[in-house]
Amino acid sequence: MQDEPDIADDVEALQAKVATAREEVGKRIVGQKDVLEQLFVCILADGNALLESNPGLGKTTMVRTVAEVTDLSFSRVQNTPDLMPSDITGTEIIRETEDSREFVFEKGPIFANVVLADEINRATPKTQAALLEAMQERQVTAGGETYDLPEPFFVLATQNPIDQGGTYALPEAQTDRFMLKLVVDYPGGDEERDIVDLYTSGSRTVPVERVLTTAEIQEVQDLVREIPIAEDLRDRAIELVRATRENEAIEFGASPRASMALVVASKARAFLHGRNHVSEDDIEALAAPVLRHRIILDFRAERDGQTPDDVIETLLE
Amino acid sequence: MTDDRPEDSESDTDVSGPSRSDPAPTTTGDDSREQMADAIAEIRREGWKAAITTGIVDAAVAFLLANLVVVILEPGWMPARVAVPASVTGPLGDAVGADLSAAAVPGSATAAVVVAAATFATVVWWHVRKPLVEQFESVNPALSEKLRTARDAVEADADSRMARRLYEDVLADLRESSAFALVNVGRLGAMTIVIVALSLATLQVAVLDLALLEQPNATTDVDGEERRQNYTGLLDGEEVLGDREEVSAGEENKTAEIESTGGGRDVDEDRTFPEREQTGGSSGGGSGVDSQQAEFAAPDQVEDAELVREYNQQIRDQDQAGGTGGTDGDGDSNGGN
Repeated sequence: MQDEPDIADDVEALQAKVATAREEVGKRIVGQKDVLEQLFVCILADGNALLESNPGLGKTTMVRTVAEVTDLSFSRVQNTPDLMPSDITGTEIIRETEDSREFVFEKGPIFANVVLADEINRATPKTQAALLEAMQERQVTAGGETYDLPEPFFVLATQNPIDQGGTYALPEAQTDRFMLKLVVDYPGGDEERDIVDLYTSGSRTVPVERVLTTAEIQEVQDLVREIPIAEDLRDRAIELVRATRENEAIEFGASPRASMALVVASKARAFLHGRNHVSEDDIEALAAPVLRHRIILDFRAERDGQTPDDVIETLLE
Repeated sequence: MTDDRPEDSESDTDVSGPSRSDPAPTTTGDDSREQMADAIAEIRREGWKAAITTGIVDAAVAFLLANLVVVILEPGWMPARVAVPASVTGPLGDAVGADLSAAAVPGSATAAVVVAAATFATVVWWHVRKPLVEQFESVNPALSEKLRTARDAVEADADSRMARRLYEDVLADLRESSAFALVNVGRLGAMTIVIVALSLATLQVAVLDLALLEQPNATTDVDGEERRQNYTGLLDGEEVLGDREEVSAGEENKTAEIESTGGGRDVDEDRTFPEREQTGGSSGGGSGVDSQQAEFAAPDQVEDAELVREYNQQIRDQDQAGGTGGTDGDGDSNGGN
């Protein structure tokens, strides 16, 4: 390996940088370690995340901080019922020059590396579809022209589980496009005290360092996909997803896209933990975030008070 | 690798490729994959060795146990000796320069060999039914999951950066691992004790010639039987009547009346016969009947019985020769005296 760059040193350096980035985000986000880990998993696996929580739990701060510790461009879309697709993707405008007029495409907020789509369920289905189509295709078409979105590209959408009046729930076909659904829960008592102390004394903002470049993130994304997985563990992930289609408590199970998401997310978690192989722990830890928004419970299970996480827990047993 | 090591060096088997004292080799992707493939092959060899070791010990126990059981029970259907097939004795005889066509092995040993072979095959199959790499992982927790991942990556011919990193990581961990735990030493020790015990038991049985189910010889004593049938003398009472047994005494009392013809007087009172005073030998009139205990002579007193019978016969002959006496009303015999 004298002619090649030292793989071990490269990978270890990248793993160290990712770990540092997590620590930097942790300076602003107290607790929520699992959510933060899953958010990084989503970024390293080149996926999109749907964050669900009640208001005031730091979803926006978390996503914004992730963008800050990297040199990724960041934009935020506050979804409302009157938001039009072109408000997100961009639109063609007429620009006058000295001798003529020409149509020029004005890029919308979706042309950023990290797009925070706040309260996505408040946008109309038409706008949601435009956003999610761009998210899936990684490109936008306007006026007969196709524009590629920047690489890497993440959509981190948030939705509020309460106050459902005037909202448009995302169809299953569209939620399936999110690799993970992260549920941000209320912090514990000690954590809440730390949050209060952190944001009510001294500086108004907590400074963070930029530690990851765009190129490094893309390098990590490539490495994540190269991580080997044992055949029995791969089969375990697939069987878990297939089991959602046969379980009595589930009316509609997850698609093969879920199997792919579970495997690649497990690889990303393995990388985050400094491993060169996928462990069964990775699959079990990510089963709920990967599957919870991809299954629809049977009405009897809902009547019994079961949640998707409960059913996934039984599948893991 | 450990190919040049003696077979019994299992306790410190290094399946990791280059030894720890070797300088860190400069490897390319192909090198690390090749080393990983070699290490996995070595792990599989160690797994087979462990399975075969256990199989041999268990087969030895099965052989000794089966041999012992057959020798003790000596089943009738088991031939005493089994001829060795000519396909075996022929080449073997040619090799040693002797005629082995009449060679035969004991039936018990043949049965034991069959049982031992079946046991060996079963035990080896049982040990290798689970993938050997995963068995190795289970006794080396540091390699858990990563070894089988490396195995699958090698089989998939993976040569990515992360795969190479995994190979190097696993090879480094293999230097600290051992295949010794694949063999259950405690069980092996216990089996060795059983082997010693069964060997001693086999020797003991061979010395005592113990045969629990051995049938007694069916040779009949014809002369003795004929003598017994022709014998007309006194027989052993126990032989004739069978074993003695306790009987309960009767509880029913009955009154009997016997009309007397000799006295010429009426019977006016109940009397019990025989009257105690008349049964004595000194009654003079001799009208009483003495009760005597009947018994048979024991076989060892046959000569005495013969003598008594002979005397009785002589007395009877003398009585007949001396004149026949009448019988009085009391039934007494009036002899010549």
